[in-house]
Amino acid sequence: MAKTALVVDDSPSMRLLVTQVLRACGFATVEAENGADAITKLGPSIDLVISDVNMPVMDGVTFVQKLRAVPSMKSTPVLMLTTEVGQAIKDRARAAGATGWLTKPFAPEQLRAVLGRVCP
Amino acid sequence: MSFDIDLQALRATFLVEAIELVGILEAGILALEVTPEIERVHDVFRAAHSLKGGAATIGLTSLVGITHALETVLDRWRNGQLVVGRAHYDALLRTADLLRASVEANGEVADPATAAALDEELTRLAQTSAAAPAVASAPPRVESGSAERLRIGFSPHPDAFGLGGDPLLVLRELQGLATTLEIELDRSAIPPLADLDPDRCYVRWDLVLDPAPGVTRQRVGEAFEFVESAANISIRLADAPAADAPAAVSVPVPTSTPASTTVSGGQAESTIRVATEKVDALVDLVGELVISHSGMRELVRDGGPAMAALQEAVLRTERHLRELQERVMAVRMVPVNALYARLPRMVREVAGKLGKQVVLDLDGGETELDKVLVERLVDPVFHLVRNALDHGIEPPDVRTAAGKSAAGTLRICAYARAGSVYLEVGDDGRGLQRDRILDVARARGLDVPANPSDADVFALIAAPGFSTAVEVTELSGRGVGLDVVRRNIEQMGGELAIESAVGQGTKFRVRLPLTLTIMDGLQIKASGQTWVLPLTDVAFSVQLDPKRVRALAGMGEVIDLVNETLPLITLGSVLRSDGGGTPGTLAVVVQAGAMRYALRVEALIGQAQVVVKSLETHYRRVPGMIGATILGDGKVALILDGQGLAATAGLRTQGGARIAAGSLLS
Repeated sequence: MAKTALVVDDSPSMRLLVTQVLRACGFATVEAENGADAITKLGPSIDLVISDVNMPVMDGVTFVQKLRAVPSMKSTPVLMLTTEVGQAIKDRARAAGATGWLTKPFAPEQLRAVLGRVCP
Repeated sequence: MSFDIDLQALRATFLVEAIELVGILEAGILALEVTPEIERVHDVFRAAHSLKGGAATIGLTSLVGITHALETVLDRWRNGQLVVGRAHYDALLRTADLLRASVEANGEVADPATAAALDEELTRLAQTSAAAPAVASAPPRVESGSAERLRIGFSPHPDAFGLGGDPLLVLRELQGLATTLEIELDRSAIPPLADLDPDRCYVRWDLVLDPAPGVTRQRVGEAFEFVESAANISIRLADAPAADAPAAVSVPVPTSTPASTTVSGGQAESTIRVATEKVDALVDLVGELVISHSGMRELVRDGGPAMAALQEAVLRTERHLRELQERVMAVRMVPVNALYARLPRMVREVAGKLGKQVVLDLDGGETELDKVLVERLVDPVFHLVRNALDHGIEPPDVRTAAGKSAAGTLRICAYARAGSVYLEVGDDGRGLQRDRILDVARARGLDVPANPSDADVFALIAAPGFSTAVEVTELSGRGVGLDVVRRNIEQMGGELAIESAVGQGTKFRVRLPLTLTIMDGLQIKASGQTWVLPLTDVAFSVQLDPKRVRALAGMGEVIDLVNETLPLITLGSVLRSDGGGTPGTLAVVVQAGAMRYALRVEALIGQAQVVVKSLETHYRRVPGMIGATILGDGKVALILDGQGLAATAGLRTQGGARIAAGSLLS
């Protein structure tokens, strides 16, 4: 059965890009517009979460913190997408509970490579 | 591996999104200039940030530079590193303009010269700090010679499986980077099963890796990027002495989350976008359905008892039809916010040019109006606003001298009442000066009544050829005046009312029908033809008693009613198109705006909903007519305009002001 990825980003074009790459890699996808929206879509059927950091309503860091409090999501791979560079955001993402991160903009190839680092 | 990425769709999606982002950007900047709140800076920053990220991702490289410069300014602003002044607002707004134009030009920078200048200006305004590079570079792939054999120690922390981490994935990635990879598992730390916590990692690896061609030591290090905080990692040349220091030391940073803010652009609304033409086609079709239905109703009306069941069915259909019609019309209703959105920017610019201070107060933006009307309202409302800024609100020194606040208030509000929508443009400026208006009107040779009421006088400023502007200004000059505004509004089936008090301000009130396309009408027969009068214009009808009809010198016929004497007009003579018929024995009393008169008719046919077809589209504008409609029997009837008809007939308002009459046949 195909694995399912939850894609969280307020930008429709970014969601489109990410979901296209994911589908090319054999994932089924579920989308959410922000952290609050994404919280409602969490569950055991989600095998991977890819989330933007900067979003209205609930940002990605808060979202991942809340996600990790959900029992079924404790060890689900979470990839954060960020436009910030440097150590601070990595530390922030990690402290929140992200498995990995990717700096925007990225080429589809880069996303695929990073997927390999977080998802068997 | 190649990806099946639909770049075309991606770009189209981004462009739609970008327009919204530019809107948020512009609205945010304008709002910030009024009340600088840090939350708002965050909103604006996020919009700029998303624009930049999207442009870079989609490959719109020409936009990346300018959005980066924009983001830098906003970033310094939100971090409190910037003292923001008028120059900043100006540059930011011009950047929003440029971005909008570029997005509309399919994402290519619309005007590279301006873009370059703005880029420079923004960079200067950001006080040229050391900013992040415009595009975060991809992980470097240095293609220089491959590294020598590496010896790697990889000791995941016990909690390495937390947060979705999986050390095995690192090994798999390393495999892809190596020609040969020796993996040695050290499982000596695994406890007896009874003590084993399956969530903890008890193993470590020692690896010997021969890098594949082109793979550097740095690239090998990158494979550990996501696990380096949860592991001790050492990477060294195979023949170098062991150094047990971890490859990377990360210092935990207290997590702080930015204040979460809401922005309307981010709200999820369950909507679809539909081409206007599709909706228009539906509206037309429903209109035709109403017409054919009323034809059917007429056919069965006189059918007697045998038709009773059919009559009932037809009536039931009519109820559904009415509801269907209302719902279809509602699809085309849009909030006047669409119109408001453009006002803050315009007010800011016009007030700036005039050296005036203005507080813009927008109210009732959620009031809905037919999309067609909202679009046609743009020009008249802009004109009224410009007019208020130019002529209404005084310069700050004049205001202060008059004991007012230096900043004037321009209040625009919209509301719906009894089948009409009202839109008011009011200022707290100098107000209209009655005597000056009368002087100018006389000087321009306009028809000025004796003892005019305030309403009569104020109406003069919207008469053709009138302008009180002392000088022709850049903004309100050009010879286009309030008369054009009034005419535009009347063409939409609306009316313009003016209230004013000297020293306190002026208020223009626009009244509009909820929708243009359908109206309740009274079908009448007059001068041998069938006409439709808007029900809103009809007060009541009376039997014409010949004894009460008199001819008055200079005024034509009048009719004496219980409490009033009204002018009595005959359609045939007013329109100079007598289609024969007998002189009517009934009269309909018409109340349209300030005009009240009696209209001679032969018969009242009945009340019906009619679909208004524009005469302008098919023929040309005709004074005294709103449009035409197709009746239930398939015949075409003209729809009379109560107010326009009075003007055509040369009637005066109760105060006596003669309404300028256009000739029907001109």
